[in-house]
Amino acid sequence: MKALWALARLRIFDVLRSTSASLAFLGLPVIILLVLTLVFAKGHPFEERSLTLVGSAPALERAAERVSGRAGLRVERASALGEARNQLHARGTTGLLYVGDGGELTLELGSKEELWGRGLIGLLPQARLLPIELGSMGYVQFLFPGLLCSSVMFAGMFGMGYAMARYRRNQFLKKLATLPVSRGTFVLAQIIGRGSLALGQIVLLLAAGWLVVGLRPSFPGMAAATLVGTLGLFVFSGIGFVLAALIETEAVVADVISGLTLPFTLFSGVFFPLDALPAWLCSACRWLPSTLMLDAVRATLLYDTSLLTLGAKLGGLLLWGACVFGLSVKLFRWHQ
Amino acid sequence: MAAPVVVDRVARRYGSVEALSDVSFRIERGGITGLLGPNGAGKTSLFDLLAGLAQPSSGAISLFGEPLFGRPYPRRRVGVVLQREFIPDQITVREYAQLFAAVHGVAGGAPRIVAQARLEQREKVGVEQLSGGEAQRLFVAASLVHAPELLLLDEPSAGLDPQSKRELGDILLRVAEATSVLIATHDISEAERLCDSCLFLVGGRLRASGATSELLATAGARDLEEAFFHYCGARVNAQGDAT
Repeated sequence: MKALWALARLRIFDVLRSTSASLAFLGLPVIILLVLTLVFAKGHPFEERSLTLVGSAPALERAAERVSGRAGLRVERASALGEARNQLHARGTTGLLYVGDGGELTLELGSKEELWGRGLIGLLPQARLLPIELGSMGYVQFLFPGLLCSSVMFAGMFGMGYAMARYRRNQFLKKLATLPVSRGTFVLAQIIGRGSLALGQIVLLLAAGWLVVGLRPSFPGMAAATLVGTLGLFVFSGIGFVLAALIETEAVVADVISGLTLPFTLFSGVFFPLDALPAWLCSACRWLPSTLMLDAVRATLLYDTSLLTLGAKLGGLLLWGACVFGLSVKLFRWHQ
Repeated sequence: MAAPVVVDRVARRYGSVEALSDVSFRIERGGITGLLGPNGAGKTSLFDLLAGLAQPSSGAISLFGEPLFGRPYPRRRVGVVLQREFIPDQITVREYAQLFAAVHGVAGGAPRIVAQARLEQREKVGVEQLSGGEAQRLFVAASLVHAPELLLLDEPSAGLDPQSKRELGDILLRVAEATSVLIATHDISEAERLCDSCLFLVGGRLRASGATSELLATAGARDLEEAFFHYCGARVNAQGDAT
C-alpha cells in the first residue's frame, strides 16, 4: 500500500512540480473556455448571415440604409464583382447585392439560401433574386487558406522557438559561438531550412486542394499567397525566437506554442469571418499577425485580389516582423 | 613572434561568486599545456574566456599578440572542442564533416576530417551511433580542419575508456607538433603523458605554472599526481572537489 501511494505521489509531483506541465494540465482548459466564451459571445457565427454590397451606386446606398442594423445580418462592402463572387463561392459571404448590367438591383446567393433571400427581398422590393449553384466544397475552400496559414504559423513558431531552445540546451549554440559563422547567418539558415519545408507542405496542400476540394487559384494568386506566406513565416519565426529568449527549456516552449495556437486560430478567422466576433474583439484581432497573413492569403488565393491593394496588411506584417526580431535580438541569450 | 596566449591578471565574477581571481600566465608556441585543477577550480570559466565565450570582469587576455576583447575573435586561427560537444540528430559522420568544412570555408576539408578521425569505414553511420572515443576523434578532427594555430579542448577524454584515451592522446601529440594545444582536464595521468607544461588552478587562483619537469622538480614529486597534491593538496577533498 505504501509503495502504491509513493508511486502515485511521484506521478502527481511529476506534473505539479513542473510549471509548464501544471499550467498545461490545470490552466489550459480554463483558457480554452475563456477563449471560446469570447469567440461565441454573440452566438455561433453561422447563426448570422452577411450581405456584401458591391460598388457604390445610389440604389445600393438606399438598400444599405434599409437592411443595416437588422438582427442576424452583417453588411459588408466590396468594390469588384469578380472578387465578391469568389468570396460568395468560398462562403466568405451569404449573398451579394449589386446593380446589374440592366441597371436593376440584384441579390445573388446560393440556392440553399433562397428562402432567406426571399425574406430579404421583402425589404428590397425593387431587387431581383438570383439564386445560383455554389458547389458543395465552398466552406472547405474557405477553410483552406486557414489551414495553410496554420502550417506556416506552426512552422515558424515551432521551427524557430523549439529548435533554438533545443540548440541552446544541447550546446549547439555554444559550439556555434566558437565557429567563424555569424549569428545572422545561422538565424537566416534556420528560416531558409524551415521555410523550404513549409514550402513543400504548401505545395502538397495546394495539390490536395486542387484534386480534392476543387480549388482553382490563378497562378498570380498562388504566387502572391506564397509571398505572403513567406512574410508570415518570417514573422512567426521571430515570435518563436522571442519565446526561446524568454523560456529556458524546449518542453515549455512547445507547451506555450500549443497554448498560443488555439487563440491564434480562433481569433484570426480560420473558421469564420472575423466580423462575426463582437466589434471590439474584431477590431483588436484585425492586427494580429495571423489575421493579417490569413486575410492576405485568403484574398489572393481565393478572391484573386491584387497584392497591390493589400499594402496595409503587408505593411502590418513587416512591422510585426521588425518588432519581434528586434525584441529577440535584444533578449536572446546564445548560451548559458 | 607573439605568444599564442597571454593572460594578465584576469578575474571573472558571477554575481558575488568569484570564479577566477588574478590569473596570469602565457602559453608559448607549440606543445601541449594542461590546465589542471579539481572540480570547481574555475577551469571551464577560464576555458570559456580563452574561447571567446565570455568576457573577464577585469584583466586582459591577448591571442597572437592582439587583445581579445573589443575586436572580432580570431576564430579562423583557433579550434575549440567543448566539454559537452553538440551531437546532432540524424546526420552521418560524412555530413558532420561536410558541415564543419563548410563552416570553416575549407574546400575538400570533409574527407580530411574523416581521415584524421580514422572513420573512413564509418562515414555513413550516424554521429549519435559512434562510440565515445570515435565521436571525440571526430570532434577533434573537425576542430582542426582549418589548421588552427591554437587548439583549446575542455575535458576531451572525459568518459572515454583507456584505449580511446590513448588514441586521442596520440592524435593530440601529433597535432601539437605544429599547433599550440591547451587541455583543461582533471585527469592527472592523461596530463602526465601529454603535457609539456601545466597550470594548476584551485579555487579560481593559479597555484603554479611552468614546464612539467620544472613543476615536478620544484615540488620534489615523483609524478604529476604528487605534484598536484603538493600544489593543491589541502584544497581538494576526497571527491576531487575544490574546498
